[in-house]
Amino acid sequence: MDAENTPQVEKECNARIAEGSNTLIIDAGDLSYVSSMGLRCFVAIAKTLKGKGGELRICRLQGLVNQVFEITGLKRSLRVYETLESAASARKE
Amino acid sequence: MACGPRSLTLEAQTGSLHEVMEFVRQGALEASLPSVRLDELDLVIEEIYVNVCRHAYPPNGPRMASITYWVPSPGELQVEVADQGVEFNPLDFDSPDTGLDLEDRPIGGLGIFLVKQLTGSLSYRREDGWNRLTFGMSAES
Repeated sequence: MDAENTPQVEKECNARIAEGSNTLIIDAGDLSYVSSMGLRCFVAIAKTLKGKGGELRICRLQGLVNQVFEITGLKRSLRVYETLESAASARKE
Repeated sequence: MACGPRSLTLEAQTGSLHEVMEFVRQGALEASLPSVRLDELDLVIEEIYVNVCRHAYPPNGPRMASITYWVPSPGELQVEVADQGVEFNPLDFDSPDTGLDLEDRPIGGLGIFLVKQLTGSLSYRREDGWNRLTFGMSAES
């Protein structure tokens, strides 16, 4: 998720929200790269969902993506899970 | 092997981000940086270059960026990103509070912070109308 393709992800998430979803799970298992543009998108979507009484859950962070989430503290600020199953079965905070 | 400076000068547009990443990756190969550094290098160069593309110049008119790399010694890569836009020292800004909850977090503001965290050295100078941001990455750190 870089400056060029992050807008597509954000558009996709916003489309789901517009359809009425208020909790989204992002499986980041195949995501190998995220820049601050991608982080901005995650934070924005998480805030939007929280405002609707829902939440954003992100799972299976790998490599650089995991490293960037650690450095920026987003592992604590966002709801991050090890597996898709644990993200799907988590209780809403 | 050490190598002298190589430069790429182009119009600062986000559409050329991948060209810039490829160019700097060549430097990483010449410096024999390990693969884990390549991802970090992509991230650092994106943050700096996209910042120049979005904020250095007014919408119309020339918008040059010049990217230079050199390998002072094996395992060491130095990269300079230069532009002739408005004077801007990204190192002047305080680091964000990474301990905040979601509610209190600003949506953005993490780019330069990531650059600071992922580079071994980072310096800025304004010189003859150019902003020159130079960073170093090494095989070790």
